[in-house]
Amino acid sequence: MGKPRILWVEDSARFELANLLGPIYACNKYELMLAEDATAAQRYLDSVSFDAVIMDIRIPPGRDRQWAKKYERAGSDKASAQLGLAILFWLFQGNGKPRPDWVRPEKFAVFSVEEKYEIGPSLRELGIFVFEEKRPGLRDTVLLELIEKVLRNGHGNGHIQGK
Amino acid sequence: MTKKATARTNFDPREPNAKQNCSIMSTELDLHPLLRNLDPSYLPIGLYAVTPEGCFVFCNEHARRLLHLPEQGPLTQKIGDFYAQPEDRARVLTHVLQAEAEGSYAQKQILHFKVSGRDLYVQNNCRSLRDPRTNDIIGFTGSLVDITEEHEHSFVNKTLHQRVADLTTDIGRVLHANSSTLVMVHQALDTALGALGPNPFNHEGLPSGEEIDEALQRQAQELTQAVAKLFEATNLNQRKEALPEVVWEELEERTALLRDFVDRIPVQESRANALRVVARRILEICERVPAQKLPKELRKEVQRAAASLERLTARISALNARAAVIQMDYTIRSLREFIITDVRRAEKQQRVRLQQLLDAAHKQLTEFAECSRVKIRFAQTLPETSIFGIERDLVRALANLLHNSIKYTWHRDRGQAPWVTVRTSRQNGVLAIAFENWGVPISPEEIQNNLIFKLGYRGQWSKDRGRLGTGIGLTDSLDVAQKHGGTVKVESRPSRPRSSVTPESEDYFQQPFITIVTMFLPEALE
Repeated sequence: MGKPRILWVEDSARFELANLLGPIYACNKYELMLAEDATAAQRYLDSVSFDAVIMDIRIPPGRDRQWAKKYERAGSDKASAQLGLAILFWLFQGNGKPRPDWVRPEKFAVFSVEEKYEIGPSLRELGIFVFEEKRPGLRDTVLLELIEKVLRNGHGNGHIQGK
Repeated sequence: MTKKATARTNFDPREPNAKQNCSIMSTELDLHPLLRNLDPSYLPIGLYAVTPEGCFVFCNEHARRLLHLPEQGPLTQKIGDFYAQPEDRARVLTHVLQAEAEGSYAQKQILHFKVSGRDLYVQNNCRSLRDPRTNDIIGFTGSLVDITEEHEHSFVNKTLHQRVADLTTDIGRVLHANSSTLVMVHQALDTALGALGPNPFNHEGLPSGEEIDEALQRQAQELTQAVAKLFEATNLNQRKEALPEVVWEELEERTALLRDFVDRIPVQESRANALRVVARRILEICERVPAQKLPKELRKEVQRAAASLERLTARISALNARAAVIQMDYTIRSLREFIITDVRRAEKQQRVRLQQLLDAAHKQLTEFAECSRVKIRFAQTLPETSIFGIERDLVRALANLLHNSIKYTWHRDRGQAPWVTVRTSRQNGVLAIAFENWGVPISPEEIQNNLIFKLGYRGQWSKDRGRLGTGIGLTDSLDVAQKHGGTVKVESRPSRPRSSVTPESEDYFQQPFITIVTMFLPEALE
């Protein structure tokens, strides 16, 4: 059985939040993948199964026209477009394809600057209950702890092979 | 109507004799009874006449509707009954009489009425009616126009304006305080960097990814060698006496990561922090070893190497933070200047030398350029050229463009420091100040649709490699240029166009672009 496969959707992963990856790589327990925009996130979610997905809400669209249009319609502003939420709704509620078996709300968590009251109703609608707000003073192990929490909730026992 | 009246239905007041024709018309024609005996009720404005005490003598249909009075018949109400503050009537009449004493009439007074419990704001034009023989006041007459909606909007607008002005001042103060905080943070980081020992990089700026990996590899190798020496110098039993087997297994795993961290950690920007965690863990393991259980010198060597690696990773983290602070410092100062433009004291336009403006802009960005390790080259400068304008705004506008070109410059191959070129020239009698850089692209659609000039908009590729920004710089620069009679133009194209790579290609925007942002300004001639 391989290491649990984790997807972090975050456009600041290599910059302001790069320190959060340190403990994850240092512990060497997870296979971590990074998506820095909505296009990359969709491609991963469409083709790979994950044991845990940590999602940022304010992400840029990337090259895909579908996400670029949503972004432009919302005023080309990450905060209003909330493409992270759009991806979650796309994944859970309708993209014309049957939902993959591995996609269950307990395998998802949101890690974003929004306060809970802002996106709480949407997350409840999706059945996602693990949420961490980005704020100053967070330890650099916060991402690692979030992943471990999701894995406990999802009873992740390693990814489904071969999707 | 008579024949003459029919002809006059083609009446055009623009005709030269129209007025004269009008008066001829009124005496000659057999007018419609409605015109001959024009009833003020038809007028689309409230009209009234009251006694000096305020009793209604006349109130047309419009005024009756306004005041919720009976549509017809005599009125028993007084106009004073409608004032929200009854004592206001005396003040209004005083104003009416004062205006008349000065030879005019009271116009456009705003009266606050209460009609059936609701607020009504009316615009009142009023004059007194006097006995022609005695000149005694026999009443007052006037017009009423309902302006309740406009009044409420105006009140809301005034409140909003005041709020915006207050907020702008507050934001200016907050941003000023933030700038001070950034100064403090910058100094603290400089202090921390000083305490971390000698700088392993041969410059003071932000090291590149390759430089960081090289430095990390050197230190990681020292540590792995120190750990390997410890293993070689001890046997299994000695090690078990010092620490549990599982800890030694962990130490081997950590060492393996140190050896292969480039392959195992694909995200270059997180390698330093990952190795910091490893170094710290190895130090913790060493501290757990009881005295005398392992060769002291070898254990100390491991600790020294782990501490060196930890210090290096701390330095890298501090350098990254300092670079972000320097970038944010200019952004916040520029944002503050932009926000308080409308509330600060107006400054006079004056003749300013172009070189003076460029020097001031350059000075603001020297540290940022040094930290980013981007050189600024001034080419083709125009000596003794001047611009007429507000120096503070012009400096900010030029600094914004220079800041962008530094920020969006990519680093080239090893050994060749990147640069930004600033060129000044005359084009069609206008001064052109061009900022050219090599690096982040701007898409043709964003330029053609003027998106890049939209307040708050950041280019599609502007977040490349974590570049911070507010989306205000270009907007502000264009605004300043236009206020000075100029403009800003942007071009962005691949630095080495290839026929195989078209705008539709996946990697079209992954190649470096040459971007030229030019500010055009009228020259101040002698």
